[in-house]
Amino acid sequence: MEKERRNFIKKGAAIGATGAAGLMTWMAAEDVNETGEKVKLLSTNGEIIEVDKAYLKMASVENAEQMRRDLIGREPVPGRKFIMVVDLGRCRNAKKCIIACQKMHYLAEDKEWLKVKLLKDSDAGAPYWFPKLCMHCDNPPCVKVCPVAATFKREDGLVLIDNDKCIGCKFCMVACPYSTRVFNWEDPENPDMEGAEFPSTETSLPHYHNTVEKCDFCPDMVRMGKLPDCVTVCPNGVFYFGDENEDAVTNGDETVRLSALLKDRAGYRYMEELGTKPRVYYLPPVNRMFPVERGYRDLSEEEINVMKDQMK
Amino acid sequence: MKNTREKIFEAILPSMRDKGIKFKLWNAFLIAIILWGLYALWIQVTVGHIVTGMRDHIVWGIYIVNFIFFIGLGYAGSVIAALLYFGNIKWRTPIVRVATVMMVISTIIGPIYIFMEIGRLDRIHHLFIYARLQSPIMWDVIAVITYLIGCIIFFYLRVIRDFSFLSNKEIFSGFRQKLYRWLSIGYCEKPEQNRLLKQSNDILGVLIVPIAILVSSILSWIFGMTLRPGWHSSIFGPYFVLAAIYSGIGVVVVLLYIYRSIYKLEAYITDTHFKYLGYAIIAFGAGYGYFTFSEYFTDWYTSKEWNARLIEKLFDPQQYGWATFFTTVGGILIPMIVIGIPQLRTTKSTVVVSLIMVIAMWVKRYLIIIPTLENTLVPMQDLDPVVSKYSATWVEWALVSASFAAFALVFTWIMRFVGIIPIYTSSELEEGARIYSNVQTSSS
Amino acid sequence: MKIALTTFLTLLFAGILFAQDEKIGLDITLTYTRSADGSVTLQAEVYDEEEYEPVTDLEFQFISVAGEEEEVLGAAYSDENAMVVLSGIPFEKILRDMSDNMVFRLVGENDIYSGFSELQIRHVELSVNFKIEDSVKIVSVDLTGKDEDGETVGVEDGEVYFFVPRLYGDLAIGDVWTDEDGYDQMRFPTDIPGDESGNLTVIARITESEDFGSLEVRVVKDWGLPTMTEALDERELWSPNAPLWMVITFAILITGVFVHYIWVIVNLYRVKKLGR
Repeated sequence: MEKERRNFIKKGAAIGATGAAGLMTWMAAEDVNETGEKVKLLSTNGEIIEVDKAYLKMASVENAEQMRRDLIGREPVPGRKFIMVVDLGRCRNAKKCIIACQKMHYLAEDKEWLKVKLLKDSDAGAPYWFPKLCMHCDNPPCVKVCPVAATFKREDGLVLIDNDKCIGCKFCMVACPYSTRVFNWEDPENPDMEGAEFPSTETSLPHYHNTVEKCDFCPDMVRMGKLPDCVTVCPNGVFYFGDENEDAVTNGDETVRLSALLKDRAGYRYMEELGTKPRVYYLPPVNRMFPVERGYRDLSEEEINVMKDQMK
Repeated sequence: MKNTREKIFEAILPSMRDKGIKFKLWNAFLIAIILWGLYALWIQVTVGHIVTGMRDHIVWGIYIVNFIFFIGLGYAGSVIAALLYFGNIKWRTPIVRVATVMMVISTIIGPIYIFMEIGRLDRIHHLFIYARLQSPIMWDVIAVITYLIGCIIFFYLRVIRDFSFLSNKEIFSGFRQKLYRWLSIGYCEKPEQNRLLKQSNDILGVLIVPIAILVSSILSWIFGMTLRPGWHSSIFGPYFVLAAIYSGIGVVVVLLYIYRSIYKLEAYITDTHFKYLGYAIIAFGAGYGYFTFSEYFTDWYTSKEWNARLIEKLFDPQQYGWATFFTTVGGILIPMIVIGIPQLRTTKSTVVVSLIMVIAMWVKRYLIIIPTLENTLVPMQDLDPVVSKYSATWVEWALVSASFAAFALVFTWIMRFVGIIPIYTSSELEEGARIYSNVQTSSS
Repeated sequence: MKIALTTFLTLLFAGILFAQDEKIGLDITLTYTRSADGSVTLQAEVYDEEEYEPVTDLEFQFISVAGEEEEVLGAAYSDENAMVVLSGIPFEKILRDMSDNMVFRLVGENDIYSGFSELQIRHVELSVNFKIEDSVKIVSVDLTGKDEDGETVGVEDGEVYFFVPRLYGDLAIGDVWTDEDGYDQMRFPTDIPGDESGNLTVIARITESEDFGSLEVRVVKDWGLPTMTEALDERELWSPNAPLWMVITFAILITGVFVHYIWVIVNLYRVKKLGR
């Protein structure tokens, strides 16, 4: 998996170069004498295109890096609208998703982009485990408030962060009602980026000190047609991920109709009344696969008490 | 008229060339605090924001509290000055001088504290090259810059004539005289010059009040535009405007009193000044109190879950109950009672309650920011109390202390340079003449 | 050549059988899959008979058998999951008898293990047809094979599942069970999103049938709903560009204020000029 990631990052370089070349073509179309020698490049749509070699030289070195990042990270996966459904009836706080996420994104142990909370909706209601990811809202309050366009909404539904632009004002963290976003308070550890010459917004790498990060639905993986790691690693198939345009989601084992799943299981979005239009749906915690106590297994007494205290 | 000016000048001269040991100690004390703050800043920049008490849930701390407090003073200054100017209030001059100086200094110090909150100061230019107009932070950046320019012009217009007067005083060093002369841009009481100055004063006087109100509202919208209870409230704009003016009057009262007692200026800063400022405190306190009440009352009455949790946090004595008690009783009720009952109202009591009120207003800003951030929609369930509960570290306190020291230091030196009593305007008002007295006689 | 090979294999077999006493036997589950392009994949899961542990890194031979005839299709090693896979076998290479029956043999041996397995599969042809009856969209299958005389006949009891491929995995949309004529049909769902022009790849698949193995047929049909990817709104609060009213209001406010600032600064300049 890691190898694929790296390869993708390399591939990203080619994509970026294409974009940069395209931009340069537009900017300096008249001044270039075409050499007649064509170079094959991979476009953002995954198509192979040919560009005259003369245009390649036009990319200025200083801006090239930023352009690449913009072009790779801000282009949607064409034709897709990614969506997630979380089946609360299956979660037992196994935390495999959290560990997989940390591994995937090279996060420190105390850093969780994906959290599992213990919730209870009403006084007499039953507590349940609630995996909380980024909701990738269609009306994202975090994107609205960003002063420098570091966080942005893509056509394929993803809300991502350009770690290179973020000034660390934390306004997006304040604006997000789900407390999804986390901040690099300390200088974060980064993986060895050798071979990954052009890290992209899609890999959320490298991590920068004093900037904001969050769950990104693993855009580099989904661009390759692979499921995010939290989905595949979950032993109970809690997470369904897919393309809303195709009306299908997969939890790694089974592929189901999204509309049918939401209809039959009364899917809902967390705090619909906030108007954020999340792209994560939840299936109510009914017909549980496990009693809620199963989730206490690996927790200390203290942790259980804190959870029970704050359970709402 | 000339004699009146000389008289005023003589009265304020001690404050303009103070070289006493107390003055020096005072400066040394302030500089020491500022250096301590700079050291803290150096630590924060080199080590990172981990040295503050802020964490993933409570991402804004007392820097933002301080930012609101100082920006509030900045807005208050211009509103107080402009209202008094257009009311053609006779006793206004020392108040206007203190208010405008407070305005300029606070509007500079305040925004510095939003930068303390920003993680990547090395990317601060992104605010300009990647600016997004939809962000309330961008509104604030633009608004504060616009306001600051207005403030400096507004203040400058009010000191030009005094500079021209001071430039001829040989008691000052040659350099200082030259500086006065340069700053007075050749003003020499020509009728046309007076007409132009009066026109400029009128323009900015009219303009600065709506700008201050708008800018103050924009500040409140940084919070009002989020989905959080305690912030997301349509009352927030006017609430911030009133709170700003209210705290601003308190600071003016305290500063006037300090100058009056140190430099024996009872003839110019009279008890009447404090009485009238007291009345203003009652008026704005009543408005501010009314807003506070309606804010808490509506949230408490409907008790929407998320809002109710905040109200509980604010009124629970185990949490922020005592702070809320202090800000409402000490910050609103006591000033109004003490100043409102004639038997209790003296200059001293007015000053004391003003000081309490100013402190309460700072605490109030803390109560606006911190409990709201601690009140997350999804429960935090973090074991580490550092994450779930905010408490400022020494770095943050050092930087906040530095802001007050910097305010005091800059205020001291500006007042030393321009004088606490506006010489020209005061003399005109004292002799019952029109301001810019010879404007009417001018033919143009 | 073929005779020589057969002889060799027979000798080899005799050797294996002879040596079997000392070696550990293998438990082999062999499956047959014919993909839509016609190529065949043979796949087996291999465990030892004593401990029932996965057997890894053992070379296996895949052999096609028809009566006396034998043809070696290829060889592969078992991987860490005890899987032996030989894929992309051209269908023509496989030996068949008169009624299209195929026999596959998997043989593996080294110093420790030895075992083999045989699988018999009846070759069938699956075809998918679409029709509209009384404005109801219907998809049907014809499953045909050869009888003892080599005549083409319908094949009964074939359970055929329909799928549409999605980004992650295939979505099941229904199944049919062939009658004595090898025929069955079902209503085609009308609300499955296809591509931009409504094209849909439909997969008809028989999965791990004891008689026919696994096989599938893929057909592209324009019975899907066209998918429109809506472009994001250009001027939203969360888009890169601000709503127009915001830009205009902002411009008016800032211009209004700064015009007055400039007016005052010009006034000050005139004051200065008068002072000379």
